[in-house]
Parts: sequence; structure tokens; C-alpha cells
Amino acid sequence: MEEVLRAASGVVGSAHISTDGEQFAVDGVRPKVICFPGSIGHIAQLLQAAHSNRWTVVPRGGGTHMSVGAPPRRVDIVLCTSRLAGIVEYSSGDLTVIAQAGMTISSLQSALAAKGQFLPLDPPLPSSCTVGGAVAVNAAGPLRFSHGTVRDLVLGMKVVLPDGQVVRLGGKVMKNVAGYDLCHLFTGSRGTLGVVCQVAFRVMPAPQMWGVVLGWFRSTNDACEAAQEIAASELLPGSVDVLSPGLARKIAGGGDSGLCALAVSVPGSRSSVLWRRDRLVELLQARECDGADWVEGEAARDIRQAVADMAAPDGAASLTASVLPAETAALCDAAGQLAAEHGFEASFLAHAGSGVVHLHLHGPGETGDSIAALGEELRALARKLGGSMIASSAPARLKSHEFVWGPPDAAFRMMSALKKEIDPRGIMSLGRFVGGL
Amino acid sequence: MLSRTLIRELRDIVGPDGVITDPVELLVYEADGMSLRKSVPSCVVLPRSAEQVSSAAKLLYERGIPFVPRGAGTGLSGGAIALNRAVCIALSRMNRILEIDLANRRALVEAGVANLRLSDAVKSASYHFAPDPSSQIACTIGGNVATNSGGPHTLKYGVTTNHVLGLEMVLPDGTVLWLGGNGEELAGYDLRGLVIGSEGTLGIVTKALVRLVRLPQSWRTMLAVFDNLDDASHAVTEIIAAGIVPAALEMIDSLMIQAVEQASRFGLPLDAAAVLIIELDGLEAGLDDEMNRVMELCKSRRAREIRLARDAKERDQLWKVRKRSIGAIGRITVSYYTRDGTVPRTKLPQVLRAVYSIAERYGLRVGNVFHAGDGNLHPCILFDERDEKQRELVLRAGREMLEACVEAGGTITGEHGVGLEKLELMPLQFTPHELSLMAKVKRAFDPKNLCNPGKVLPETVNA
Repeated sequence: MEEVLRAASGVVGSAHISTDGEQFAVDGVRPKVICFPGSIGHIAQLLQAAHSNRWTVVPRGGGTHMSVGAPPRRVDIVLCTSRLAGIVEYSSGDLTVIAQAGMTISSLQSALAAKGQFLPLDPPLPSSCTVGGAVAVNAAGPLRFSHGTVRDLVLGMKVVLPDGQVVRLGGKVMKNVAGYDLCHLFTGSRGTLGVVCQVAFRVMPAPQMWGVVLGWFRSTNDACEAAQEIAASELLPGSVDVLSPGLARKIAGGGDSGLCALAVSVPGSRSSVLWRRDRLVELLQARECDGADWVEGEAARDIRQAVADMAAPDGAASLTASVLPAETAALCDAAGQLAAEHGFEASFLAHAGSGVVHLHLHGPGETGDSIAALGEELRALARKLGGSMIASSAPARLKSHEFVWGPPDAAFRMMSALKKEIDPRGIMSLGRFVGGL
Repeated sequence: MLSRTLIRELRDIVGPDGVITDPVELLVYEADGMSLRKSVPSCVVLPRSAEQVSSAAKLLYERGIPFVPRGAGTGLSGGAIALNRAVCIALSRMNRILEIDLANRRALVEAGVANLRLSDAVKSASYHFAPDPSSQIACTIGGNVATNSGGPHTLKYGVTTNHVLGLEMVLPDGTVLWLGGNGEELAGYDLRGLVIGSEGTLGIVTKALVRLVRLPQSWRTMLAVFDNLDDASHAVTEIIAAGIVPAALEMIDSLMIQAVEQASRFGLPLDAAAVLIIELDGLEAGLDDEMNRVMELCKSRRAREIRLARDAKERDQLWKVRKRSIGAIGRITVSYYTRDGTVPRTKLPQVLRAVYSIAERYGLRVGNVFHAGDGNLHPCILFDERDEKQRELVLRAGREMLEACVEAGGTITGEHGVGLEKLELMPLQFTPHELSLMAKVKRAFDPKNLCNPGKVLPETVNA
């Protein structure tokens, strides 16, 4: 501990060090030292020291996704990016921005909004979620239906490799195929290959307006069927999400109708948004929904945010399943039944157009064993429906890497080979990722 | 030379008609779309399934014989050239569309399926495969995956990597793997994303699970004619700055207009300095407003004429002109050499000026037909390949043009790939550490360096 502390203080200064292992524990594993580097140079020096001494490092942004992953085998240093929170370069004419890793998604969106632009990315809790964290987990929200995930928006990044070398991956232009696409490898690598310090994104002109159509349905199945029809239509929705009654209640102002909600956002020019509103309402009425509401402007923004935030971990455990989009209803229905059989109540946010479902399990007090059993059943269900499942939060003692990520598949061999090449001493986020990487 | 035994073993795998050894027939495979380099493979293997690819790769890997995957051979960087008598594994017989799943907006295809064939197969249901490189009649989905192909419509719809959900790949040692898949949230590294654009150096892609994208409800396609090239490039940046994202925004300069017009008699104005092809698409509601704004922006940049395609036929004609333009250049030159730099689009006017002045300094003619909206330049240098001195000058001028792109914050290749052709340019853009990181990736997949060796990474780079 003394040695790590001394080395870290030497790099970032004692004012930017903490030893509050409790506050920054990663799934219960306490770090020896928490440091807050003020530059990429600091991060490079810290990793050089860690590499030479085989100290293990876990990078941390806003902490919104720290629950995803198995508990690390050991943590010597938690490396927080919060002091690296500015814009490096914003060229609005090029529709590109380079932001530091510790900048929150909200701050980035505000800077872009000042020039009439936005990043089409809406992960949960954007006022905490950072750029670096979003890249580490390949974050996404409802807008994944129309704009994909972080992977589809990153043009380049600056990364400190586990041995302290600083490298640039990709670039800052729209198209770039020079060399291997390492941005894709690092996006979603969960802090196991290095520390992402800066990210170049492509951004978009902000639409003139947003509207949200809310359709109310008695059954998940009906809501999901309507969602599939809308996703396949020419109406160009920004997002197509289905909310279980428990979550739908939150956006309906507390009314307990027992209905689930279909939320469809539509961005664009006023004339096109209003035309689509009318088509969507017609489509919902033809499907005998239990009513449809329309919101626009600030109210639409608030609802979109509320829906996006519903992906954040909640309850005793949260699971993210992805299946074929057309199987979303089957997954949600069967998951609800399985949860009930184990004494849990399941709420869900389903990105129905993409087949990604965030399931939250609420249950009675001490429920470890039943969560473990239920998790396995839900994973088997997702597989049957052509997909897979990740546990995005659960009690730490349950979180073996197999429980969190599922058993490694045949491609794990290559993942493991890449990890060995890039982090040969295994110092980055040791043991958190699939197969114990 | 390959031993007779090995040829026989390869025939055992792919059938008697699946191995080409005839020297004359092999000439078809000596080059790809980049004609500056040629090298005849020792033989060509034509598998019909991933299992056959796997068995062939395994055999060659065990014997330490290099091999090169090949799609339609339309690549522009020499990526499919079989160096040092490598074996060519051509995927042309793996050309089945295996599944079209409209409910989930995806299709499963073999690597040898031609790009346009897939789009045609789903057109009646109002879908398409969005990446649309100019060679789309011939180029294969596997080839698109290898180079992460773009096309004119990538400005709005993205490139190949944005449209591929999963890949079946045969590793250099013959192991068959699935990377990515149906689910959008998968555990582990994004090997799918890493392999896309790796130019056949990490393994051989045999199947792709791709997204199908709904065709737009409507579109407006126009041709804007400019007397001054700077005006045209400023119009490009101003359209984007106005918050409009066209489906495509292409520029053709004066020299290319001459070539295109000779080949197509489309009626382009021969005295223009540049034309822009601008396509807006989406919902009918609001599209005219957007079109009017684009027209105003062009006029304020002194566009002397704006022609609007009146119907689908006129639109198709316009796109045919654009997509055949590189081919048309054969009308005005013996040989040509196309470069593929991308720059931040606000740097277009500056970099275009640099490109013309470099060509002038070398006494060479250069034409440009390119994806202006993406900042993706395709300077096309005219020359006579029979003249060795000219060949030398062309290479030097081409290098300087790409140096200008990198200096402006851009890249040496936007969509064609590094292949063989841009190997020596890699250090322009990447530090030794960055190249070494790429070499580590290569070593993880192909420790014996047998799968398309000598491409993408200069041989001097160490992992």
C-alpha cells in the first residue's frame, strides 16, 4: 500500500489521491489507492508504474456502469477520469467533436446544443455517465434503434495502453480504413485493454423538434407487435420502446392503470414530425390500443430522458437480454412468468426495435440463491430466442464471470489471445470481463 | 511451386473442378482493381462452403504455405494480390443468399454474394443493403467486409461496419468461428468490428449477417453546376453547416466531367468547373423545404444551374453517371491512379487546391470525382503506364497528395484500404507504437503470418 501510494502521489500530487477504499470499492473489492490524474501524461506515468510493479488498475468514469462485470481479482489503483472533463476540439462545420474521457454525456450534449448539434446517444444517467465510461461499455439507449451504439459514433480515440504507451486509434474524419479498426476493439472492452483518455465522435445537426407518441396497451404482446410494425415502417422513428406497467406508471404521472406503454420518439422538421404523429396515432388506433398521447418540446425531452434512465440498474438484480427484435414480446412475457415463479416481480424497458431488453428484478429480502437460479433460466430463455444475456447488476457474491457474461463461446480463444498481446501482465481490470479476462 | 501432392489434397477438399493451376487461367487472378502491381498465385482454390475453406486453410497453414482470400477482385489497393506465389482462395462460388428475414430486418449471406444482388433481392419489399460502393454490381459482401466499404450514400447511412451484425470466419489455422450475431448486446470484445476492414489478413470471412435498411419514402436528387471549384466545395461545407445531412453529396470536377461526358453523353456542361450531385431522402413531408434550402445555398455560392431529377429514371441515370465515372476516365488516358484520402470536410477547399497544385508541379493531369460530403477525396492522376518516368512521378505526386490529407487532420485511405499499395504510407499516419499495436492484433489471429501476408502492415513493423 505504501509503495502504491507513494508512486501515485508522485505522479498526480497528494491533493489528487484518496485512500477511501470503501467509497470506490469495485463490487466490494477495495482499492489501495484512488487517483485523479490531471493529464494524459499522468495516466501514462501511472500505468508505467503499475506495469513495472504489476499493480492492478481499474479505470472509472462516473461510476454509472461499474456494476457490470465480475468482481476484480484485486484492485491496487482506481483511476478516476473526473479531472479530464473538457472538450479538446469541436469543429461544428465538420460535425466532429473530441472530448476528454471524464466529461459527462450531459456536459458534452450542452456544448453541442450551443451550436445546434447533438450526439445521438442517450445512455441512462447522462449527468453522471462519462464519455470514457460510455466507450468502455459501448453504451446506448433508446436511440440505438436509429443511430446504433457508441461503436457507430466513435471516429477515433487516444488511449494509454497497459504499458503506459499513448496511442491514437482511428482519426477524426468520417471515413477511415487505414490499418485495423482498433476503435471497435477498444469500444466495449470494459477497461481491460487500457485507459481511454479522449474520444472523437461524429455528431449530428439537432433536429428542429422532437415528439413522443405514447400508446397504452393491455398486453406486452400487443405493445411489442405495434412496436415491430412501427420499426418496420417508413416513419423513421428515433426510438421504439416498450415499458412494463411498473415503469410506464412513472412516466404517466403516477396513475396505476396496469397498462404497459409503447414510447415512440420522432425527430425532424415540424412538418415531418406532425405528419408522422398522425400516422402513428392511426396505426395505434387500428391496433386497438387503450389510448394514445402526444408530447412535444420540453415534455418530450423529459419523457425521452425518463425512458432512457429506466435502463439503469434497479432492484435486486438487473439483466440485459438481447434477442431477435421480433422475439421481444416472447422474451418479456416469458421472463415475467419465470420471475414470478421465483417470487420476483420483473419490470422491463424493451428497446423493441433492436431486441434489447433491460429487466429489473424486484423481490423479497435475502434472495441470492433464487436470483442465481432465475438468472440461469433467463439466459437459457434468451438463447432459445436467438440471443444472449448479460447481468448488469447483481449481489457481488453471485457475480462469477459466468453468471455475469455467460459461458465463453468459441471466439473467446481470440479474445484471450488479444488480451495477452495487449495486456501481457494482466493489470487492467483483472478478472472483470468474459471468461475472467 | 506447389507439390503435386498438395494440389491433389486441395482437389480432394474442393473437388476436381475447384482448383485452378492452368497458367493462362491463373492470369485472371494476377491483380485486382489496382493494376500497378501484379503477381500470379500458385493456384486458385474455389471452395463451396465454410467447411471447404476451413479444410483448405488448415492444410495450407500446417504446411506453412501463404494464402490470400479473394472476392470479386474489384479492390483498389492490391489487397487481393497473391504475393510470393501464395495460394488464392476465391469465394466466388460461395454466392448464396441463405436467409432474408424481413421481420428482423436482416439477411444471412455467403461472402461471395454480390452487393447489388442482395439489394435487388429485397427491393420489392422496400429494403436494401445500405453500403453502395461504385463497384456494387460486381463487388462481394465479403469484399465489402474486408475493406469496410463505403459508397456515395455513407454520408447518411454509414459504412459496412454499421450494417454487419455478425460474421462467420475461418481463422488462418482453419478454425471456424462466429463473431457477433443476432443479439446487439454480446459479451466480449467486438471481434466483428475488428475483423471488418482487416483486408483478409486476420482470417477468411465466409458468411455475413447484415442489416437491411428500409428504402426512403421519397428523395430529391439534383445536379448543381459551378463555374468555380472553390464555390462548389464551399457549398458542400455550407450545406452541412446548415444542419442538413444529405443522403449523398458528390463532386465531379472539370476533367472528370469531360471523361464522363465522353463515355455517357449524359449532357453534363463541358465548360463547368465542377458539378455537385446532391441527394436528399426521407419522408415526403418536409423534403421540399430541405431541397429549397439546399438550392438557395448553392445559388448563394453562384451555382449557375441546378437540375432536379424529375423521376426515378432520371435519378438512376444520374447515379449511373457517377458510379461509372472512374471507369469513364479510360476515355481520356492510357492509365490512371486513384488515391483515397479523407479530410475534415471544412478542409476540402484547401486540400483540393493542394492536390491540383501538386499535380501541376509534377506536370501531371488530375481529375477528382469523390464523396465531398464525407471529405473523402479520390484524386485520379492520369498517366501512361508504359512510361517508367511517368510511373515514378505519379507515385511521388500521389504520396504528396496523401501527405496533404494527413497534414489537414485526415487519413491516407477513407474506403479503399491499405492493401499493398499504401504500405509505405502507414508511417505517415501512425507512430511505431500504433503500428506495433496493430501487429499484435495480427499475431493474435495469425501467429504464423500466413493469411494474406505483406498487406496492411509494413513488414518492418514488429509486434
